[in-house]
Amino acid sequence: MIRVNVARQTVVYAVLLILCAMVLLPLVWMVTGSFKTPAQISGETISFWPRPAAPENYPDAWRYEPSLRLGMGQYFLNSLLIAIFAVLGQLASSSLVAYGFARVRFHGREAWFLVLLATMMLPSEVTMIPLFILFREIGWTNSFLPLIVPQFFGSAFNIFLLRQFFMTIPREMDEAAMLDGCSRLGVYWRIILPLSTPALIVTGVFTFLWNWQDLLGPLIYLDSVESRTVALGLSYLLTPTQNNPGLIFAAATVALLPVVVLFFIGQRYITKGINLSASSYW
Amino acid sequence: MKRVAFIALLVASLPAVLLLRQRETGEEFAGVTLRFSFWGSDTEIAAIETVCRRFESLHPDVRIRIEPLPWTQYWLKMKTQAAGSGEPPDVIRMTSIHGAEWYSRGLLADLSPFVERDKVDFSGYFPATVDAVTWEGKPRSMPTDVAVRVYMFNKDLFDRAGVPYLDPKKPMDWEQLREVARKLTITKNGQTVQYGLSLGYMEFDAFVYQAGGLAVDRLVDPTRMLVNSPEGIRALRFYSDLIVRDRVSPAVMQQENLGFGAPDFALESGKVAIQHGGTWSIPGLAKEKGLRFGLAPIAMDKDRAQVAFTNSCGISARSRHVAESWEFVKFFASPEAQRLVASRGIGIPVLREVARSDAFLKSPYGVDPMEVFLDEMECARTNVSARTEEFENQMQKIVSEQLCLGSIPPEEAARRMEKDGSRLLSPEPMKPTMVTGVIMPAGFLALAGFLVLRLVFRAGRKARGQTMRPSRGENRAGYLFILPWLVGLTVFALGPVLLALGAGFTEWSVLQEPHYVGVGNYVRILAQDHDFRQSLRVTLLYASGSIPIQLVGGLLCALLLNVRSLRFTGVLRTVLYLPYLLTGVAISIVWRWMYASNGLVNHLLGWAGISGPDWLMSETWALPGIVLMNFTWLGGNMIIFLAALQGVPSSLYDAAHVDGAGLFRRFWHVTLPMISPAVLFNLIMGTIGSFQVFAVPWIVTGGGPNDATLFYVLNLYRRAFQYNDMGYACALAVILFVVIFAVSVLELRGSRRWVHYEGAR
Repeated sequence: MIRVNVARQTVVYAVLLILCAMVLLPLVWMVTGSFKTPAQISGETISFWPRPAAPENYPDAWRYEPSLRLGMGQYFLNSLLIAIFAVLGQLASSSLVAYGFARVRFHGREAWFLVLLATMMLPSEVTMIPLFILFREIGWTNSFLPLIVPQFFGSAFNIFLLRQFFMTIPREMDEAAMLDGCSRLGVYWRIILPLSTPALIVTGVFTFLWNWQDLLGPLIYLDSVESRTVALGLSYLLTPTQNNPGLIFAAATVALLPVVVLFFIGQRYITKGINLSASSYW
Repeated sequence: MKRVAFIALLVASLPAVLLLRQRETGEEFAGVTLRFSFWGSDTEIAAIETVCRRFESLHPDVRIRIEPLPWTQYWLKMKTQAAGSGEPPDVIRMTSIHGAEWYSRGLLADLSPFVERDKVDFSGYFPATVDAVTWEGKPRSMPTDVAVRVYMFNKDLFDRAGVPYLDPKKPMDWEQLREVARKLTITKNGQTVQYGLSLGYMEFDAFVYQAGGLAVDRLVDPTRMLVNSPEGIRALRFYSDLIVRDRVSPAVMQQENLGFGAPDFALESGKVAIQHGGTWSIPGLAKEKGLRFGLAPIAMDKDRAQVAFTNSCGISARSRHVAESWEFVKFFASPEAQRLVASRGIGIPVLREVARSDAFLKSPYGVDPMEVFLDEMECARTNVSARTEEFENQMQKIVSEQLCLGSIPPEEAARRMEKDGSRLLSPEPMKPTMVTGVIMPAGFLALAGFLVLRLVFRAGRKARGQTMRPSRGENRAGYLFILPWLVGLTVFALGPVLLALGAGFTEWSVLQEPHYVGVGNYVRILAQDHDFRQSLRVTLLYASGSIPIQLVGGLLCALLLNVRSLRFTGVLRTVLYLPYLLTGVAISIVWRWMYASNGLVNHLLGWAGISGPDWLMSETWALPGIVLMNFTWLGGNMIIFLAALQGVPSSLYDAAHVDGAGLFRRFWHVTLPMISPAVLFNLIMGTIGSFQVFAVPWIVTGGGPNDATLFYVLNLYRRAFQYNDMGYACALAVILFVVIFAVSVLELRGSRRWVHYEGAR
């Protein structure tokens, strides 16, 4: 019986390892490729390990810019600025709204909550063009405002996720606090938020990830060279005359670094957070 | 409480801080700073910069801030800027390809007052360049340099084949060209290892003129396409035969992937004997060690003919420094500046006097004889300049992606070009009638209103079922808490949807006033828009390929991770999940090279004994290639399935085990029904996700080849920002909304048959 189990486990591990190798392939190819010369990435004979290595791809990529003499440094600052404000805005607004849905009994709450769930099915691409027209009318194009300001009004996904988490916090805690004379905002600030750190981390990490990688928004709204984000800058590296993929892979690796680091910092909470929201959809 | 107030203040002050930040970027320079946008390679940028610096030394009170972009992004960015609310650059580098589009929309200032005041004499310029910058009899930009493509040939390959060099004075005729190219083409084991010719981006219109035909009724702002003539068909046949039948030239779409160099730089590969190239090709070719090359005029048929592309500098109609900009533009077109850049590889000087001087003829790269360019200029006419970029793109698509890949014969290509071209050049005006202008929009809105009211009514009925009796204070507090979201919902969701509904009834470029056209856009989309149909088809095909991969793959991962007493599940889960979050530009870039004809994917296939296709250049394989990328994005579905699996009570498995059910039966009769709500969730989210795909095709294929990967949002973006058809794009957005809504409802309805809700009955 035990032997059967061992055999089965071996098979399971083997399949899982193959799956891991498959999903990691582009990522591994990118990182190893970033140390390669062009012929090692595509050609008659390619090699998996960079031999000989071309570490100069990294400094070249950091400085490289087909025409602008503006390095990736500026792009990083721009992306960071947008992503950080987005995280702040989402955390502040979504947690407030989620608290309202989770704890305050007001008339029409269930109906509004249904509306919230329905808007999760409305992708932003539907409103992209009219929103552009709108932001153009008020003169916000070519600034970070169209990318940041909407984040201060919550997103359905984040509100939903936080609300599900808030619901797991025993009501007795806020009732006790309110008996002690704590206001509603006080309960939100002193009880709910501190107890929800994992959920806030998940929300924050996801918001950061989305905004860091977003291409369409910056593509539409950011005109000037100095305001480019990392994703936009990367896409501009692809020119017909740029024929060193190693350099581009190095730039891509650098661009993904913050995302991956953040993911590993938050990963303990991420799966928990997803589990929580996933299991309450039905 | 203080902390709350502090946070609130911080939040409120953000927009102000951001506004300030952008103001601060201005410099302390007291004079005028002009922004100058242009495209170019590094050598071209350097050349243009010398002009700017020279101008600054002559005008110390003016500074030029250069904003160069790569050609591939330049026009899109310029148009977005012109359509946006920010300030466009003061001086904009123009090409005659887009001349009519920019002039007709009034995006560039009329230069005739300055030209008259400063008595600029246009007689010294090549006539084709003057034609290119004139709109309704008035100059709209100043020509700075002009481009024609000539033959550049590798002398060593000619020597090796024993073929005499091309004559720099006398052009070959078509048959001679075909013969020479055939002699210089080498095949080994059925594979071409050396091409005699690389047609590159040679314009089909030049061939039509050589055959004695006409491409359009007039060159600037044409109204009709005329290639469906004996001469036109003859030209298209000769052009495509070189590629498809004689196989003496690679198709432009494939040549780089097959290792025959980039178009305009094909000689660098050492495997091409003759290429088309312009002055901008010379610095690159000259840098290539051991490459000896010569120049020759392009072949002729009945006539000698060439197409010239004029580059010029225009002044934005919204510039606040028109006078200073004029000084700069005038300087760029002057003999002094022309001499400065004459030999720097940007183009041929537009002034005959400079072009014929040593400044141009004595090439610093030792290329001789540069006179070839001048002879060609004398028989050149300016290129076709249409009011819409879509014309140029559609013609390119038919020629490069259909005719030259052998999928249609020349007669069909000529027919399609004339039909599509004429439709794009003189679009039928959309005049709303009683039916299309009043009755149908009203019916449309009434239907939408009815559906919304029904939803509201239903939600209200559900809400009434609640037994809550909130107090007044409670009520107010609740709405205060959800206020941010309510405001956001109104401003960023409801408002835009209503705006899209309204604007969808107009023809509107945002640059001009909107016209009411009733349901005209919808009629056009549903009845005749090929791109719309194609994009819907691509998106649905993608959905039907990617969703099963994600569902089955995600479920497999989840089931394996859920095996009892498995260790390292935490690490494995993380590893499997991470790639799902990385679907942006960076990873797409990697895929572009993985799918190259001799990239990683084909090497892996090669080890398995399969010879892989040229994925991204093949109409058949490009979309499957993008679908296959989903094998790395199993993590999203996996994690949802994991959560669902953990919710299945083990007592159910035990009972099934006792009943003697095997592994598969337990999965089929216990696991699958129990997790069916998760399947439904992943299905719906996957469908919506398919309608959001943008970055991947944008980076990996750009929507091609021949629209094989034109996803819905890509088409939407193109319509809105490349063709500035905002009203039309709004109608497309409304249709997107309706399609997503309908598909989701269908999936939900259908799910009642197979989704099992525990405790529901």
